[in-house]
Amino acid sequence: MTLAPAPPMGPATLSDNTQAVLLLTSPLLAGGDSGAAGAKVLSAGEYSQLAKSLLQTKHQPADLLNGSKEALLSAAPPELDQARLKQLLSRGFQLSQAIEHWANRSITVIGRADETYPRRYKQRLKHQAPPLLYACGNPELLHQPALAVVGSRATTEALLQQTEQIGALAAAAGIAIVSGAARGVDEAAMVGALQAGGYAIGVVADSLEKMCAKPIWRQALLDGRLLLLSSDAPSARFQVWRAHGRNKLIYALADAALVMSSAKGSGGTWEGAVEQLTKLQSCPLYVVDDPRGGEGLAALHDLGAELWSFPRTPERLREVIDNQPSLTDASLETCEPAPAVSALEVVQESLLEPRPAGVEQASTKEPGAETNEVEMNPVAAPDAGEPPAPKVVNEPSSIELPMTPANQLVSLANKLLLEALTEERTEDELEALLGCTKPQIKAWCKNLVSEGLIRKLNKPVRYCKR
Amino acid sequence: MAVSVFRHARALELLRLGSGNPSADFRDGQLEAIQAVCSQGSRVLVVQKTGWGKSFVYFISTLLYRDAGRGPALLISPLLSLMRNQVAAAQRMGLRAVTVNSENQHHWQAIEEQVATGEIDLLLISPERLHSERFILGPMAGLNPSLVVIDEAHCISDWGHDFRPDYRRLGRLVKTIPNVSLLATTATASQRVMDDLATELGPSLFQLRGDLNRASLALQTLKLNSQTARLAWLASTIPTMEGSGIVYTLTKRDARVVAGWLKECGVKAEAYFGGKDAAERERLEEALIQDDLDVLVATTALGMGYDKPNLAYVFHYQMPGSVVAYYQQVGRAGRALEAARGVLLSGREDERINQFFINNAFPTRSDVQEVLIALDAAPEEGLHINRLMETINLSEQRIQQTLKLLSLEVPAPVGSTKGMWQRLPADLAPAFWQRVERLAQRREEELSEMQTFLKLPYGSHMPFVVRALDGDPSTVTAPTLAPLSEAVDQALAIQAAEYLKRLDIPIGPRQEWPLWGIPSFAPDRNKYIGTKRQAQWGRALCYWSDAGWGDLVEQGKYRDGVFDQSLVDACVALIGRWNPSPRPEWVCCIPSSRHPELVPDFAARLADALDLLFYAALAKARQNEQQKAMQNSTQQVRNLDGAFAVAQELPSGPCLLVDDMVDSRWTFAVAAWQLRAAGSGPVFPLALAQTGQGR
Repeated sequence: MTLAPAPPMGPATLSDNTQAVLLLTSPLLAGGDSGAAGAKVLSAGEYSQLAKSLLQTKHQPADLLNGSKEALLSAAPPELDQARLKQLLSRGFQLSQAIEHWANRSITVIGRADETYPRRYKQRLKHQAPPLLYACGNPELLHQPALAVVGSRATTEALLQQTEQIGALAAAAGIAIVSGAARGVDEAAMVGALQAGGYAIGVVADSLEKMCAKPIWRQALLDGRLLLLSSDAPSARFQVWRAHGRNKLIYALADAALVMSSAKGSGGTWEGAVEQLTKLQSCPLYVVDDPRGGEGLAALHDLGAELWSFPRTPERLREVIDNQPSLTDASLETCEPAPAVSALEVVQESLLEPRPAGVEQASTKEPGAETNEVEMNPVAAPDAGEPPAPKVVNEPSSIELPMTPANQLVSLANKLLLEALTEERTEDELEALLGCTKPQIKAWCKNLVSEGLIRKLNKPVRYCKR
Repeated sequence: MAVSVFRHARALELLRLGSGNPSADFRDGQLEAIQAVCSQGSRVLVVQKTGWGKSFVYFISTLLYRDAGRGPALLISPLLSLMRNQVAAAQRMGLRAVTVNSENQHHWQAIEEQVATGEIDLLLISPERLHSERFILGPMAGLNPSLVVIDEAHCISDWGHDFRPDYRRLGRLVKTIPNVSLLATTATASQRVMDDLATELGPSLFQLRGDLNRASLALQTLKLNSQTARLAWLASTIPTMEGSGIVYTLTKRDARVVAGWLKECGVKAEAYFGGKDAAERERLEEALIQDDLDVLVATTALGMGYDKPNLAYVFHYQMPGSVVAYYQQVGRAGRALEAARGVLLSGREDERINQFFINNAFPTRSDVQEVLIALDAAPEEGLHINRLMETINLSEQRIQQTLKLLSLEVPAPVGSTKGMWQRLPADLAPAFWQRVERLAQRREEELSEMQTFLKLPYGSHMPFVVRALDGDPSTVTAPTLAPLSEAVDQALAIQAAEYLKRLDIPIGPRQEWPLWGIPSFAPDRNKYIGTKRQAQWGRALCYWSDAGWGDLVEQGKYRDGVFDQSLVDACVALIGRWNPSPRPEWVCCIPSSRHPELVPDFAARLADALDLLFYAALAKARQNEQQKAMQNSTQQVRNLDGAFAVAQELPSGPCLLVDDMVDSRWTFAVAAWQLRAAGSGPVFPLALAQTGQGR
């Protein structure tokens, strides 16, 4: 595989539609989900409502950028507070500062109508495909054959070495590694590929801006061999719901996925893999047959994950990837419309209407189509034709797993705590975060400490992921 | 169809409130400009002379937006604050204007709260601060202005006459500001700059351009090579002027020298420059406005926006680097007078100083290379500038400038977070150097245009300026005043020469070691140099290679290898005027391995003349680099670490410590520390010439 280095990124010029979507849905440079003067940015679900009402009057998001927006807003769905929309749209200067800041940091914004937007996302994630992606590096990599390699942060040195070798083999085979760029397995797989002169994509759960500035990625970014990607605004800090949403973005870019290590019943790796096996099925999923990788691997095998055959040559690895019945670039070409559709149509396609895989043509949308929600919306309305939209409170799925309600609760609590504890937090903060009593927090944390997943710090008492 | 918040009756009412004149009416173009700005999402460029009333345009527009329930205005300007007359006008209109600058940090939190509650109508901020993390990420980012005003908008264009790095970012910002009106203002823009701005600000740009001629101004140029001749001319001319004025100099030290001279001649004069604190500068501005001063001798720090309508004259002690810069400075005179004067004096040193400015405007390729290499090797969290100064032998200012310019590129090869600098995943584009070369080239052209201007006969200066700015020279009328006499009073010139020989330049003691650069003789790692180890205040006899004693010092060091006896006499006279207390009882000097005899010989003769003991108590302990090759404090102190050995037994009385040159003052600081540690009394530094500093 030969790839030209990334074209130099000039000053960003974003389409009017992308600008409008940013104003409505992005916290821009502010953290969290705050927009203007207490007005929260629109969730994807709320945005889809607005987009639908715009469509009904034959308008597009870009029309909210000029003087006639007053009339449009008065026709907005009654559920959406007009004052809130106005406040969000009044953030024009913040938007310009954000775009400038990101461009300065080599970060571009990719809207769904852009040619670089991964077709695999539209194809596989449909309505859950993020309306905006933030990227640093070479976007051409999004269209390469790719192997996802995932695992937990705490993994034995031996397994990490094996992971690096798999990365190097992928490099030799011209296959990009897709992972989460977190420490542990993620980093080992990506570094393995990059050091061998190969390609990697990191779908980042924490601040993209920080990740881009890390020395370990710099040379690969400069060489056009790495892409760091996030669906969240680059300066946004870790949020409980984010790491989970990130997992499916990793799998959806890959032709095959390999889990190197996983806890059982909890943790981001476990949740993401189970979701793949039982719901999303973006690509075939493999696990290594190695007890050092944790109890989760065998459990995933029981759920249908295949065992990794440890191909020794690039050719064998390519066979593993190529033999997958999943979507290759070639097959995508045949079933996906050319990217030159208008932003509105594409946005509509993702947010208004789930379409069965393989249906092309971004035709005009039926206005009455069922509204779909994505994971951050707490009042998701499951759609008949699609798997139910995953919601944090429903994770992990209680249908597939033989778990008691008590186990489910513990599992969910572990998951939320582990996600929250990528940075140090006090018991008070955790109490506020989960809205339960402090003794309960103490009990859960004690358990996680004994399992070696988190650390306890003193003065004041804080916890942090290992 | 864009919506407008314009209401004519209200606009007029605000004008009359603001001006305090119940029958005031709009000046040419003001109403059109307000109307254009009030159309939501509009792009407006106003090019008008200072004093035309641009502030009324944005004050009134802001309030019309507020009346319509829209957001506040953001005014981006390099000026520190609104001038007092503008503040008064804003207050009369009921406009709540607030400035965010480095001098009111204690108010920032209150301002942030006011922003959150919508209690501010106009926020004034500098381009530098606009890009700071606190503004971008903090509560002030939630200002969400309906109107953004960019002052000195010519800086957005590479063809603008002054270079302000942060405008580069502003130029990109204005490309995408949806749902916000934009007003760009400047006092001077050539056609080329106008065209540039039209490209940057968009095709629907509404342009309003006033005429450039200042009919009341009589311009004159006068080539007087020597400083003494110019000082004499100023001293004889200023007392004959009716009303007060400004004398511009190119450097801080010239501002000091000229102001000191004029004071000596009985003129009420003060020096004004960037290094003075804000309160002092404000006091001086006010004193000139009230005519409590005859003249303010200022660098360009007394800049854009300074408005004294009855300023009688602007003289230049040296030649500015471009016609536009000159036009802006001289244009401060006679705004509300029938007649006013601008006289440009030009001296021998102008060329050298202007060339220095051009050569130092941008980092060199090797500067950039050094900075990038240092950051390539930096740890993940990045490096503080103090750490960079350890590894890079460039001045702090040069390192800062390099980092700043690089970090303003898109994409940027370096960036900082909370003061820590990191290498970012982007290479420096070749366009960076093309631009640097283009800008440097442009400065050269401007300088040579200025040389032409200098030689023009009386009466043809204003047409030349107007033509240079692409205005209409046919509107220019002949000056109404006769030219001033070019004669130089010889007696005054002699007096000026004597003045230049007793500048007695104060040399302040170093009080802190550079951070992370603490030498081995401060093993407690305490960065404060205790008062018992510091040097006392010292003196330098003259400025290096300047009029006065400068030439004689240079000759002694580089031609004769021995300093002239008249320099000994001059130092004796200086010490008489200075009268250091407690009076020095012995003389010591800084040793040199390159000129082992030069300074000791001079110090011995001086001691003789003062009837004091000369004792060479300091010796070179190791061969070190030339101190003048060290570019920043960290390097300078390290180079001196262990360089001197002190004699065992020292006289315990106060010491006069002699050296030929002083620049960074570290040599004096280190030597004084060692002398005092070895038992000497207070150490008073004395240097023949001060180098660097302001040139």
